[in-house]
Amino acid sequence: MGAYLLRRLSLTLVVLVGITLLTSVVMRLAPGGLTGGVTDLSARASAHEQRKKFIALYDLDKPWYVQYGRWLKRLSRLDFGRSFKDDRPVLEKIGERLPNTLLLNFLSLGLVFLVAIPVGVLAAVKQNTFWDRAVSVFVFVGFSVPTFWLALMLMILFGVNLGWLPLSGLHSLNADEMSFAAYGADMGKHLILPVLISTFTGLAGLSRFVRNGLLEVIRQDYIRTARAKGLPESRVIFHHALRNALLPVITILGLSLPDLIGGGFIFETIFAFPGMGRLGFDAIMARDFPVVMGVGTIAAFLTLAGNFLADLAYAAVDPRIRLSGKR
Amino acid sequence: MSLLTIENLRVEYRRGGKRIPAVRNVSFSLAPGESLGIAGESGSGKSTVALSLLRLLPESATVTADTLCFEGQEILSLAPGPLRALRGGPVGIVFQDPFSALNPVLTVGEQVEEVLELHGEGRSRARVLSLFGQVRLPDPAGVYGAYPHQLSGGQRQRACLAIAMAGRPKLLIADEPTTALDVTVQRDILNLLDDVRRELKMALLLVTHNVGLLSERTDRLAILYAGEMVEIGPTATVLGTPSHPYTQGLLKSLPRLSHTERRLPALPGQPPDPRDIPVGCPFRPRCPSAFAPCATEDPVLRPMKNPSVHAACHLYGVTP
Repeated sequence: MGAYLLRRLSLTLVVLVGITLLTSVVMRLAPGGLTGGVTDLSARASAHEQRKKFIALYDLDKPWYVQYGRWLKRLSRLDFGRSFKDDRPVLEKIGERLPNTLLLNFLSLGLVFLVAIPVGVLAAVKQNTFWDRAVSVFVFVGFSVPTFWLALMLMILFGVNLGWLPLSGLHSLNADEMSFAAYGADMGKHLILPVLISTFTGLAGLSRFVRNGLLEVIRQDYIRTARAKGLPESRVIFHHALRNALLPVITILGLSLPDLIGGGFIFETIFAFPGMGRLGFDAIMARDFPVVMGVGTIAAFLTLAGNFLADLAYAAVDPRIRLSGKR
Repeated sequence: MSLLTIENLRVEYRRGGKRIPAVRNVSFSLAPGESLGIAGESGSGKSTVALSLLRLLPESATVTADTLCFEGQEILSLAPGPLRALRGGPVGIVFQDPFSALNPVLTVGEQVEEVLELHGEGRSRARVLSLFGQVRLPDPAGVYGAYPHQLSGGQRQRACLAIAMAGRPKLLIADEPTTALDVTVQRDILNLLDDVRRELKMALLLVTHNVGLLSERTDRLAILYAGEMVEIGPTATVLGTPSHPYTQGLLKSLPRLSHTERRLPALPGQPPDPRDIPVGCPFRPRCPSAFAPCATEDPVLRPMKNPSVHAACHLYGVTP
């Protein structure tokens, strides 16, 4: 187990460096160049001067590997640099946005698990009945409907036509003047649509996954053993079958972490949601190199950490992995 | 008063809209404390018989019988509640493959203890450990906290036996309990079954494809062929003076230490396809003694000269 951990950890480090390297190279390939957002569009005479200073400041005249090396060196001191756009520290900008994205995605991920597991169990236990087919149709729709389209339609319905819910953002304009309770309620109202939509799209895959996993497990001999003991069907399903069926779900949880941390770029942009996704999206559009690198690095780091934790969790719940080689 | 009475058991599997008979005309009864071996080739329906007694067959199976009665209860018409009370309680079962019969994510102790909880005794670690002692598991305390993958095949089958015994059964069904195990372990497990059966005065239904393992172990022996019971009687009599031509052929094909022939006589041909059972006696196409009625009349079990033996064969009188 110890050797396994060490190998996983060192592999994670390599992947992390690879991700930052790729991000840095890809950004350089983007049309417009790194300085475009800052100076190219400026008609003022000082723009040229400003551009030269900017290039010198960020080593933009050096080869890309020198720039990357210096960036890595600064990173080792946890210095992500400052935004090209407003000169604020990148970490500060991320610190503002990350909690919002985490809030949105933990809420929807929690809901996904809360709904998808019972739905998947229902579909498996009532295989080939009306319920199972209803779930199948629901899953099919959930897989097929593009998120951005669904989001726009629901925004039109609830935001424009019915006027029940706010269209975008996380707070109303006058949120700062509200009482604590009203502030919370306002935020909740803003969260309803984004959370529901991202829950809906996440439900499809997971409920199908739980259904198929459970159907596979129910065929196993040890389920017959459990029935032969005289156990009630509920205990057979929840105590004996579901535990085994949910083991792979931990992996799914690990794989869903990038969304959790990175935020959906398109999704957050549609809702003008102040999260990591939109920060990254805006930074890419503005060629705000330090912010892009920062968002990418932190999202990658948290994702890899999450995957690592998922592996540990898997080992913790599956005795065959945890105790392999012992006894 | 018999513990278990089965008359005219019939099991069909649905496959693609067709009903395929797996077991037909199986009738026998079992007295308290008695042991019966059920032997037959692969596909002869012996495991289906064993599983149908607790209605553990998959949903694609339809079980019918004139009587399937355990201690006065008609098993086939039992409501789910009373059926569950029977399973793991008065009727215990041990399955074929101990490698897949235990839940991989629960400790072995937990898997035995939940039977105690269910059948009235309450959770008791001490009782689990004593059960482990009864099935002669070395290091009961260690096994209690172990997961199935940490045990050997023989140890797992002992643990499965402990599960089946936890409800103090009056009838123990063992469905090919040694088929998945090493030859060296097979005898240990069978001896163990024999011992605990005597100690606890359980009736035993031992299903196997290995007739040799049954001699001297069960009071009576039933032979299944193509889903039909062709012969049943005291084990020594059936093995010593078999009545049915199939039993005779089967026994001739067993290797014996005293025999010096280099080649064992084998039954010619193959058992019939269950989708296409011939009219009349299912063994007719392979039978050296077949005559006219075998092709038209279905033989039924009838008493032989020794009335404790029953065989389904027209050689002993054609069914009217």
